[in-house]
Amino acid sequence: MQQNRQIHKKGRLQSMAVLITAMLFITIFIISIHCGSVPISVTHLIKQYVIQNYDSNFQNISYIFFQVRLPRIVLCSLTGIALGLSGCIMQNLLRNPLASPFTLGVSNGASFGAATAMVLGNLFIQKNFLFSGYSLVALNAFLFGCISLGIVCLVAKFCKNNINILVLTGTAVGSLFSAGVSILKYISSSEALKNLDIWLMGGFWGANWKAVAIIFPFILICLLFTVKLAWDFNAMNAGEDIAATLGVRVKYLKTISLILVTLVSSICIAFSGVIGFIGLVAPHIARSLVGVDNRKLIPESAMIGSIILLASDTVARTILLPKELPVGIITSLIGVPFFIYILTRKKKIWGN
Amino acid sequence: MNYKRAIKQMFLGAATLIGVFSSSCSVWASEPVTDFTDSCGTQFHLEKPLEKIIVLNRQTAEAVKILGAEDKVIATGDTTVENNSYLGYNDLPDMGDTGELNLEAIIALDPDAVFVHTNRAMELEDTLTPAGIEVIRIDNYQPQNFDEELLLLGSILGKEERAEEFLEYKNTIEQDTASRVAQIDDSKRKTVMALSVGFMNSQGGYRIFPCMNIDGDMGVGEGYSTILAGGIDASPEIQYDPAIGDTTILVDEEYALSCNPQVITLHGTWLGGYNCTDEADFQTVLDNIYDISSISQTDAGKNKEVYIFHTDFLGASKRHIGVLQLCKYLYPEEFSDINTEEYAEEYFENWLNTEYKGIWYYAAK
Repeated sequence: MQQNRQIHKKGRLQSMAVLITAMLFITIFIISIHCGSVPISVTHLIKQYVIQNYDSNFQNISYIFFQVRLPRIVLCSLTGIALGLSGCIMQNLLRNPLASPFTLGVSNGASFGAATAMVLGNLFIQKNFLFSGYSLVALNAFLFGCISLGIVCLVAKFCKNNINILVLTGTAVGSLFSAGVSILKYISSSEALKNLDIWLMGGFWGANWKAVAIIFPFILICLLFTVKLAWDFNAMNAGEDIAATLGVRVKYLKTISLILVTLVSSICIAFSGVIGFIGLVAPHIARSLVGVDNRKLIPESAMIGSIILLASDTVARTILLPKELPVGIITSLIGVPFFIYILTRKKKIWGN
Repeated sequence: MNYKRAIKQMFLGAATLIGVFSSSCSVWASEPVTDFTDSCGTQFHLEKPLEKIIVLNRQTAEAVKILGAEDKVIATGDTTVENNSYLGYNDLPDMGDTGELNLEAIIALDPDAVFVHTNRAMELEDTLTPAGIEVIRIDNYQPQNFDEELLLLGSILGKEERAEEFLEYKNTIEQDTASRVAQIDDSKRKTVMALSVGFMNSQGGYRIFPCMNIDGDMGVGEGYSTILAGGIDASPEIQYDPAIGDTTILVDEEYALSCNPQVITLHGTWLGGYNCTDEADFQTVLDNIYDISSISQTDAGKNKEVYIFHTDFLGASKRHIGVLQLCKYLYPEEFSDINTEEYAEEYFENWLNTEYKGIWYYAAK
């Protein structure tokens, strides 16, 4: 009886943690809206609509708010959700606390794709620079992220989907593409190199509603799919054989989940560059708050990922105003000490 | 008697010819100095004048060509062959970019000295000086010490008069530009923002070339040209820190929009240049930039006051011509009589002894 009461109490606490995280996300979202080079508040916007001609410069402010700041914040939130979610699924599937969305070499593949677009685009195809810029970089990053995943899956298939082989192949393929990036850096001009270095540090300086519209459906599908199969992931934690006896289609679940989360990560990288650490740390923080039940863990990881990335991006674009720092620097600066704190405080997070 | 007079006249004529010949030669050659201090403050006491040099700074490579001392150059580096193909060094060995120099190849060529930037390849002295190769640091592109450095280079290579001649030509144009700019009414002056075209084209972000540095001195060449051309710095908060060395500063898009420049200049080395023949490339890039960034929301974007410059045209020894073109873009009425192409042609043909060609600037209008 007392044990049941304790379980219920723990469940209530975990639900409350999810609720508090959701409130924290909303709070940081609102704070982000208020922060930037141009001071804009929601009350300012409301007053403009209520009191006509409240601000003569409103057209400019309105553009900055709705076309620059808001899409950036939304894109940043979605990317955080995607990375947190993907990290959680990868750690579940690979049963490895060090797993992240980039474990299978996606980030290296995407980096190589982006580097190819920036360096070779400038060197060889500048006369036909029809796909110049953002679209070429994003498309190439996504394409090579998928190629990286394809190679890993192919090798793993030959080895009967052995998890260890999968992780090791991911590491090897990642190193291969990493060498490719190094070669491109070596042959690139100083200008292309500078652009590439900044891209590799991650950032949301190209954010717009088009990017949001492309990313959103993928993340929504991934989120709904993984939340729906949360119970199956729980069963998988007990071992693949046990999960199979409980009616889980293990092979299907593994294949489709891996492909989906890696595709989502790849799309995110394409629009924001490589933002490391979120996918690794968010699931661990979430696990310390809500435990290992994936029905709560998956949405919690997604929210934590979004909170960390949104907070980091807000700091990155405001700490040295009007200068902007690549967000990847901030995620590490904020995230690493916090992560170490969590790890030392909760000694039995993994496999609790 | 007539015979004696004829000999005397012949002697006088020969003396006059020798005098004229030697004075004309002195325009090109003077006694090279062997004791000097480079731009990093390093003192040199050479045993003999330099005869074989390797130039690892493409701006210095162009300066050497201007001085007429290209016969001393035995190898180049720093993408000179790629970006300054018109200098005639294409058949010489390439020692690599300043970050990836082939030190063995440099030593094997046994030069008297190498010329390199003041802030790059800082480890060269450790390897080359013990091998008896002098490492002379000189930039030849910074606006604040361009004249001084060209004179130094001229004196080292025994071409001091040629250096003075070039500076007289350049400074005359610059002074004329400055006096015209001074006459422009303050109310007519436009705010200008200088941005990196490559970053904007590939990532939609804003990287500014600062006009001034943190000490209130001249900033980065691309940015400082704004001031030389009579423009107003649209982003005075953004200042160059020579200690950091990065010539561009990444800024928030909101900030760029809040500055709302009347003119935007875009700079880079990969678009245009000596071998460029098709203007369509510029327009494609501009269309892309209009599509992926918020440039269209600024006054510059709305009025199509967006101009692309090849970095080399607004920097180093061509700056005086690039600034004239920028003046024409900013104040077309005041500079309507200026034909920049004529100035560029004069520079290439008279100072570099090569044909003028390529596309170096482009207007969105």
